[in-house]
Amino acid sequence: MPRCCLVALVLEASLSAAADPIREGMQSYNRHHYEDASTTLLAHMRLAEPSQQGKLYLGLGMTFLACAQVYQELHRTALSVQVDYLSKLLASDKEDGSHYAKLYLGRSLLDTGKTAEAAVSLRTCIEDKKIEPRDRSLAKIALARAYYLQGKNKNADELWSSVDTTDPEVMSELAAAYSRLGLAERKPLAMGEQIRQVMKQIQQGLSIRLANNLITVYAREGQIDKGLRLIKSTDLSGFFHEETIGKNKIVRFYDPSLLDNLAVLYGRASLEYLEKATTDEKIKGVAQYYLAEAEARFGHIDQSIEILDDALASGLLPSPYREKAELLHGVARFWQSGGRQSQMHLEDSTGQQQEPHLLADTLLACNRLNLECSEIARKATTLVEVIDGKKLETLHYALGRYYLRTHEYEQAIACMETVRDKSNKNKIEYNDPLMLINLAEAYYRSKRFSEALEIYFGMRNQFPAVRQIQVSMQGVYAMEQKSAGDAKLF
Amino acid sequence: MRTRQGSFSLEEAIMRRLATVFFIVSLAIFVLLLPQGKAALKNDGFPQGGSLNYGEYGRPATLDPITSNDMISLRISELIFNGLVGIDEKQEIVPDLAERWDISDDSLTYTFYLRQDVTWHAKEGEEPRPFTADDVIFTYNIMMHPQTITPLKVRYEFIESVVKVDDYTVQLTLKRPILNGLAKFSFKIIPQHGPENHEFLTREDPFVHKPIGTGPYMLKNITADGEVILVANENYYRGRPHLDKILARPFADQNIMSQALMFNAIDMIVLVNPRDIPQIQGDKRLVLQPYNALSYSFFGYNVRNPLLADKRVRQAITYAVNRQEMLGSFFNGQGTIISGPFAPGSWAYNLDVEPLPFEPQKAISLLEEAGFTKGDDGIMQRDGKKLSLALKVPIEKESEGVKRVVLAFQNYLGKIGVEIKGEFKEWLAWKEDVFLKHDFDVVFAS
Repeated sequence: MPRCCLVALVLEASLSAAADPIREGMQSYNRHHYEDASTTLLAHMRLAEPSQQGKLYLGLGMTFLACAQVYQELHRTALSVQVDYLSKLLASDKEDGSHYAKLYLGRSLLDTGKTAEAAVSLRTCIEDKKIEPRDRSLAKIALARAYYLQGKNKNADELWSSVDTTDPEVMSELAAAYSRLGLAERKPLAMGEQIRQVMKQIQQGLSIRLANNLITVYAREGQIDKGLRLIKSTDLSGFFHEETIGKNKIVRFYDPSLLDNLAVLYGRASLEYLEKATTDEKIKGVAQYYLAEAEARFGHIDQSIEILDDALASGLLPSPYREKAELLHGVARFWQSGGRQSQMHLEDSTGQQQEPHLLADTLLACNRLNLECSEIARKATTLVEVIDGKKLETLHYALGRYYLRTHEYEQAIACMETVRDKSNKNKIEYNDPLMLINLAEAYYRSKRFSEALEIYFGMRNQFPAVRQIQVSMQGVYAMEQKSAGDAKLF
Repeated sequence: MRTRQGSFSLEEAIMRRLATVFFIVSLAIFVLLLPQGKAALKNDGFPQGGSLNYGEYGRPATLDPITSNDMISLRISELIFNGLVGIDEKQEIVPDLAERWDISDDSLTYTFYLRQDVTWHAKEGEEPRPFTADDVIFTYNIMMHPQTITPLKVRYEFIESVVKVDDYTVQLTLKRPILNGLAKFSFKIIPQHGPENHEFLTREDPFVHKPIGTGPYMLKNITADGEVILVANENYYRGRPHLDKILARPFADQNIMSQALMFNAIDMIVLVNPRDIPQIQGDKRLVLQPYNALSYSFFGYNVRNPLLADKRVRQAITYAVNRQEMLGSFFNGQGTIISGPFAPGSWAYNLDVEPLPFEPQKAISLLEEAGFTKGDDGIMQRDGKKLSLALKVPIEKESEGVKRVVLAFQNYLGKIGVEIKGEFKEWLAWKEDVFLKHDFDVVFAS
């Protein structure tokens, strides 16, 4: 993948005199083992010579950025799969079915921005006496968040003030809600610290819900290192609730918001470390490029443009980064204009070139920003038809991502399969995890669940939080499964 | 994960493997097998004519869908026969010989309304006969007859009765509602006028070697070299298939089969030797198309053996075997270590159970904890009884890879003081030893 090529370029320049841990960390990065990479680089941080600090910061910033991108994509898929699964579960079990499915459905609907639908689901939970009081409090907090987002602040406050905050789980949920809504004046960080004190006093470990809520708070209140340490000590594949239905049916509930929180935390971590990396003059240009990419990725378009202006004017950017920076600059300006500029203008600003990697970057950026880009897609399609596929990996992926967005799933699959390593098709060492995640979603949308599940299975060691999708998808698969599916010993 | 199955327990499945090679022409075959109207077929843009010559590792035992129990046979019978319903590439149930159906509210009665435009492949010197409800009744009866040798019988014991309502309507009543019931009726229908023996079907009946069906391809002949030649069914109810001819060519050696592909002697192989993958992938004339085989290989233990009834012994054996190394060395890494009898792509795969890692020291500790000590000959023993186990492997699945796995298994266990005596047995004898006599300690099977 081009990203690897660029990383290799950075390393050529910066690692010739580098100590082994940096090389080792970046090798893990190139193999898409981001957890391993960050562990190696962070462990070296305390021992590193001052001259190595900049490279370490850059490596960590790039690693956290890649992690954030993976979790962002996973979260997008997870939300829709979760909504599909819980909707089906509720539809199939009308009598004596799950009570908690409504709670988790309501929370997921809220995260997809469907506040009205979420509110309906959450209100029924609050009135459902078969749901534990603690979980009804969670429903109240989520419903209050929905009200707040709808501008009904008074209703929100009433609900928030009605919950029992002596329960650490409830209190953590409240802190997380405040953090997500940017209500720093309600001191969510202090609430989080209070919860940790309580848990320490009673000598209890953190449940996955507590950990998730604390990650939410840490990510949004700038406590990056605390958040990263918490991630390391948490089993991210855990379930949030287990409900027994009838005599022997057990349903476990997972929460896609964990993936979002990881994306936010890693995103903030990438900004922090890349910012530090820009202070090293030797790598400033490259660090600025990644910092601008990270800022754009997390919606800070003005900052991204400012950094790119500076980087482009400084002349510190190595050649391939200069082209990418110019492209990113064009896309960011297009985004800044609220899409008022024409698509042709976007192409003008990116030089109207036919260079595959830049075209791919344009298409990916348009996908990410949800911009109309049929003309660019047409140009990319023409290019992939005339040039050997292996040379156009990123462009195939970008087109696949585009087709996924336009719900043309078979074309999406065809594009991404072209560049998938067939010998190691589910291994992230050989395939970009971002491509695999999108391919899995295309397979899911095409009801080829087995292919999608195989991909997630391959990712689980480096990204254990992928479990938040796996179980929901297994649930949808089980309910959609039409074939006999019985085993036979040949 | 441990699942009781019959008389022995399935310990952790060892690995999944398999990859396939398809020529582009094979895509046309799959497209034409999808349920489409005649008009669609004629205007679907795929070229007409030509033949597909593909390689199989081994020969089909039989060609009918009832007595066959190997994938080579099933691949051929899929082209010759149809079921009441079909399952498309999205695992959706689609009409096939039945154009529609009703299911009673209690899910116990399935009424199938059959197509009236389907004919059987013509027998030599005869006109094609129509497919009717009698054929469905006949298929069910012969399949369930006690003297019919078929793996299907046990899978359809849930059917109480099959009744003809009229020439083109059949009603199946179930003993109990079953999960995904409709999909079960994808079993292939054979003609009443096919087998010589109308009561039960054995591998001696000429029909199993020269079957006639309703499918897109008809058996032309089997050559002296064992090549199975199929030709297009001009009267196929969905329209004539694109390819004129399909030829399945048997190979006794996987290496020779791969060479035949690379030297253009055949167009397609369906099972690739892992070590040939790099060469095939690098050949621009070939398209490597991996698929999730959903198959697995496993070591199963006979828990009737008191030594193996001890969970610690079974765990020790699993800890002692480096399955990742075996997968990498013998199968080119083409597979996944799994923890139970379902593939990770299945909805039933238990994500909470992680495969045990390779930890030989832990294996020794477990054996010691179970009361074993190493004897002078290096073999673990308890109460004077050596930890010596008989491993039985069906010879039908014998391959280079399997032989290596068995040898490696012996070596790994030898290192912790467990003696393994391997024995390859003919399939039926293996089945008898394992399922009837329970005369085994460990099996390796797929």
